[in-house]
Amino acid sequence: MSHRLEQIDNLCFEGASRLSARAADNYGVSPDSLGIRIKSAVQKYLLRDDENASTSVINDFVDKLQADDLCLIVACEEGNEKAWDDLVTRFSTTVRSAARSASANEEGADDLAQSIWAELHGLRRGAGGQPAGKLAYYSGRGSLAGWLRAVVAQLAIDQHRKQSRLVQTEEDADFDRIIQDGHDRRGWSGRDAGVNPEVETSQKLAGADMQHALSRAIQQLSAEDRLLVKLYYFDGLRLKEAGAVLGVHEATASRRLTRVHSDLRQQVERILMDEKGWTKSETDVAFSEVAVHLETDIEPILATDPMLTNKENKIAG
Amino acid sequence: MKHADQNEVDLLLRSLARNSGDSSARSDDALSEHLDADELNAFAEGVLPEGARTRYSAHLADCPSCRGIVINLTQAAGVAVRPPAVTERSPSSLLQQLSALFSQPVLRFVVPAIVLASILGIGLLVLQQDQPGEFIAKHEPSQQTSSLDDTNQAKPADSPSQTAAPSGAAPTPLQSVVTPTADEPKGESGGRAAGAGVSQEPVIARKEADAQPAEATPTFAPDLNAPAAPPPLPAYTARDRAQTLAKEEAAKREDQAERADEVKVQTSEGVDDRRKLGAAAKAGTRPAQPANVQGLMRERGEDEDKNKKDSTGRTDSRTVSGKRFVRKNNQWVDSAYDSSRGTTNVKRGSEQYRALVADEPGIRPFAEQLSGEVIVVWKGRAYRFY
Repeated sequence: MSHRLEQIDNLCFEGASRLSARAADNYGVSPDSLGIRIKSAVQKYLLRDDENASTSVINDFVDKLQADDLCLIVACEEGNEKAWDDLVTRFSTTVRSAARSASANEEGADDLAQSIWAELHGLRRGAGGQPAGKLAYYSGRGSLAGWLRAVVAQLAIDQHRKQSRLVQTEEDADFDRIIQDGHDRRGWSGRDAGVNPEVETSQKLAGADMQHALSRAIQQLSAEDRLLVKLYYFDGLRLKEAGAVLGVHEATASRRLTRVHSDLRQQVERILMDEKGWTKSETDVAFSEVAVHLETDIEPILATDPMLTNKENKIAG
Repeated sequence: MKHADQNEVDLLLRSLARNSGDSSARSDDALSEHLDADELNAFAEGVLPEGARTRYSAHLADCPSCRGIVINLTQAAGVAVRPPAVTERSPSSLLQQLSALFSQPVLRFVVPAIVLASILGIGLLVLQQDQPGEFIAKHEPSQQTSSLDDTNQAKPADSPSQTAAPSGAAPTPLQSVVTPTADEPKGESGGRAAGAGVSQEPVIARKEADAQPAEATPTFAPDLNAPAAPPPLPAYTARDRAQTLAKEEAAKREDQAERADEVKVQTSEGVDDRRKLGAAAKAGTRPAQPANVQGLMRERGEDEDKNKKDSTGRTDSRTVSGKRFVRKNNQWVDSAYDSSRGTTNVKRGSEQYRALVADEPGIRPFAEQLSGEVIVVWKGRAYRFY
């Protein structure tokens, strides 16, 4: 085991030398400093999922790190003023842009941007002189600009949560009321249709069973498929956008979603038949009846969609 | 049915998302920890190893907050999307490569190119087939002199070997000119020699031919009997030379005929010609006098006269509309014409000609059926058409 750790150390520090050599400006960062950071990244992204990753896999991982960005951040962490100047000069626009998109107004964007720089700079050293703060989390795997945008987004959400705990805005209260109204109006009760109360109750129960079974079926999907369902149905993304998040083409996302539909149908039927004792014909009838009710109810739901979607996006942002 | 099933599931999912929200999502407090900025960014940029990506996908599926950040990062960064998983068809097998060669886009350009190349190739072949005639004529300057000498002096021919090579060559336009007149009695070798002689004749001097009009005048006649010694001359086309030589020979023959009795010449000349031809055929170098006659006829547009030749080949008298015409000095002369009388010159096609044939339609056949210069006596007056 110790041999394996030693081997990984060697690979990381050799990789640090290569990384330092291919950086346009390494800001005088020592390979040892880079090696520690690289080792941390290897452990986090590679060895945690595959302890026996081969030498070539580790070397490939190290060689794909962003050399310039990682040297810059490590130099900033070490207190290199030139590196700080470069960081601010090169990425102030990026931070400002990310802050503006995460804030409701210009004033909020300014406050958010200043908070980012203060946090990055002021927390670069811990009490014991050890690296602390967000700079230590940059691994060099992704771009520095993207990392800064993610930092801004996380900070914006944190600030929003803090404010939300203190007071629920009137706007949020309106939003919750709208959602509750929607739930009351639509549902699968079918009470607006003037149907027989027995049928209504039966349908309601069937709908509840199916909803429950569907939720469980979703949980049984693979992580990628479940993420696709969440992105498409729950986050309201289009297939192209969902595919971009998953790193696949729109057509691939579409094919995958079609397969997910089929998997979910089979899984729901299996749950209803195995756990609720339904027959195959009963599940088929329930699916078709629920679909009919949903189709009749979907238009008023869709009519409120833009408002709901905008509100959801605001909260998420 | 399958599509309907998928539609039902799609509707159920939409309803589930609206009714219950993300029921599977854990609250922020329930989550042990969110993804850090580096993990979120690495996921959004698609640079995570497979294992880590799957792990983070599971978290993102249950965490709306992190998912929201990843969505924003993806849209802000404009992450390049991997192309669809369509395997590129590379022509791996020979059959695939061949089928690619005959695909429609390729044929669209190849077929016109092949047609164009074929046209060019055929054109080149035709041009090359025209070349041998000139080639043969160009390379026989020395034999030309001797054949002219033979022609003029009726000497015994050179050895047949001298003409063997040209005669063995591919048929030329010149030889085809000879063929129609080869109805005279001759041996097979003589005919072949005559053909060979014709192919050698085009080497005559063009300057002489140009200076000498088609209708040779008497002043040229004595010179033509002298042994010709043409200098080496530039090559001309076979057809030009044949025509030139034909004119010259015709002039010579008519001169000889004129020196003899005008009446007797009509028969004696034919005999003389046949003698010459016979001698040349024996010698194998006779320069195809019949070809010259044919050339002359062709030049004057007298092909129709062939129908009127008698068995001896005499062509010096014709009868048109009851009038008999005799060939004299390259003119068709009405037998009733008295040379002491003056003539009225009328150019065919002129206003005067049209007026004359309008007043005297009976004179028209003489002017039209006889080509060249024609002297006609009509109602006591002599007209010369030219």
